[in-house]
Amino acid sequence: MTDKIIEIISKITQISTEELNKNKENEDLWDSFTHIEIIMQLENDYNTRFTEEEIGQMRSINKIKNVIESKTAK
Amino acid sequence: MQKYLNLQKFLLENSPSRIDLLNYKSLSKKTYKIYIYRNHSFELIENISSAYLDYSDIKAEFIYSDYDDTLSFINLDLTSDMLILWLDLTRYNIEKIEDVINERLNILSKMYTKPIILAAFGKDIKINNDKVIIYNFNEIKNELKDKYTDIRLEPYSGTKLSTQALTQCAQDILLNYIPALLKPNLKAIVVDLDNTLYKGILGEDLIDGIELTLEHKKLQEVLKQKAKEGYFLCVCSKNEKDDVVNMFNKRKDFPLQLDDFTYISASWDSKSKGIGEIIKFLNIASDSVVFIDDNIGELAQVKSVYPEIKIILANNDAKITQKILLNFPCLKKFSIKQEDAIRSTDAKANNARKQLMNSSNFEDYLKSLNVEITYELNNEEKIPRISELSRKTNQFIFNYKRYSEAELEKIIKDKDYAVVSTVLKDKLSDSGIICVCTGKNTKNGVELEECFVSCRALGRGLDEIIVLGSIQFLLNHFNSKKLKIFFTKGERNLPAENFINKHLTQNLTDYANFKYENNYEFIKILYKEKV
Repeated sequence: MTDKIIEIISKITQISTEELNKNKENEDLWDSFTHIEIIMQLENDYNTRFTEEEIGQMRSINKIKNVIESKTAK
Repeated sequence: MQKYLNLQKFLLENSPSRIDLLNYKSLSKKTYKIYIYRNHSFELIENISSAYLDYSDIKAEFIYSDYDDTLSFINLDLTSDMLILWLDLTRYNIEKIEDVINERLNILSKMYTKPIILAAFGKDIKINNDKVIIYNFNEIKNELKDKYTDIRLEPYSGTKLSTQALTQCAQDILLNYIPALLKPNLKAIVVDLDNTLYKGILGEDLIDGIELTLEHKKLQEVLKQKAKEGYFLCVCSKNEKDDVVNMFNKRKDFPLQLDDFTYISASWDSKSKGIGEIIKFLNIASDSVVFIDDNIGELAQVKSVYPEIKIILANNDAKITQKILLNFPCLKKFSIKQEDAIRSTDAKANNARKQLMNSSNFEDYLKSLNVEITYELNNEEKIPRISELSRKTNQFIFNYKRYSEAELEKIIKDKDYAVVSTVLKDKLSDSGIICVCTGKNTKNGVELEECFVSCRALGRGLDEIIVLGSIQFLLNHFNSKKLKIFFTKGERNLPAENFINKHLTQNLTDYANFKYENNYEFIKILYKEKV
């Protein structure tokens, strides 16, 4: 799952997948507008809808993964 | 050519994803500065703007105000090329928000003389300011219904509009509004016939065999509307001319009829030859023409001779062709002026004039036309037409000064400035305003700031009386005998340069005496000082 998330983020941010792999905990990789682009793309690709609270949490790659996992587990 | 066909496909035939739009790299060189004055965010539109703007060869640098609900308009960037006032009206709790916005817009349009778009989200308000172009969200709102807004995202996106609404709005604003305000509008739409205007081939399927599908019918209706808005509609087809005329005469189910076309070129010659005939007939440059054909080879052949012409590849599915046409840059009119409605008749009348010119000597010809010329001083009512003419004239123009309506209003009110607009009428047609001169009174004489003439008025043997007569009227107004003019050489203003070389060399960049006397007694001259 992490690979797919990283691929999506890489396409949007133009940061290489290697670089993203090294920075999975980093919460400052993108600005708030890029955040929206990422959220919209993830909602589309995972066919889900995040709550306002979840959107606020998803600031790093690992946190995105956690939120998506908890949603798909439900 | 490939760039435009690729963009046509990418933007208007497929539905591009935001990721594809985000990653598009613009190929355009010319950068325009677009100032966004806002109280909610516009960045999600900017993020996907490059491909849409590249379709009209525009690269944009967006500059943002702070989030300013008060609309103070401090720190406006006056060097920007246009301003978008991007407002969320739900942020205001006052009752008379409409009055407040109108008042602030009046102040803004006095300070800022370039084009202004107001895009107000959240409430319908009535704007009484004809210098401001209104962008209306209602169409997107009605289409998206509950997906129009996304309050959940607002803390992060800085706007209540959903990304879907923003994506649709981006397409509309970036293809239809911004290019039409930054660049000269197109003047003519040239269409192929077979498999473009209808399904089938006239020469093979014959008049009753060609099929007007529902979508082709709608396409013809769109084209008919464009002709009504003042675009010249012409045909360029490889067919027998008689067959084409017979087809339109017989197929009364076609929304488009012969009357809707300004010129029909139908022959077995190359399409570039047909286009050549059309632009010569209309007296316009190829870059103000869009040519629609279903055959990519024909588009390429025309483009090889006229590299600046705009192209649309017609689709088998005429619904797609409609969508392209309805979103094609520089084909949007924000208000229909009297001149737009008479344009096509005027071009046809030009042809009748040519025939008269050939059949008699020149003076008899002029006499037979019952020409009437009116020189008008500071006619405020005609500001929209004067501004439009200044933005789209490329051949007979001295300095390429493109006046916005606000700039014209300002100089008309300035007593040291004057604007002369010249109206031409003859027995064949009323051409409306065809020439404008602007000038400034100085202690040494009159400085001619700009002079431009519509291509519709050129080639009638009236250039001298139109241009020199207008200048003389300007000098008379300031009670001056001395004139200084300026000239900026551009790509296509050779006609203006030739005219200056013939009549105004001594006035070029220096004050010199000027006097023009009209020798054509049979031309009726009128002067309007107060209108």
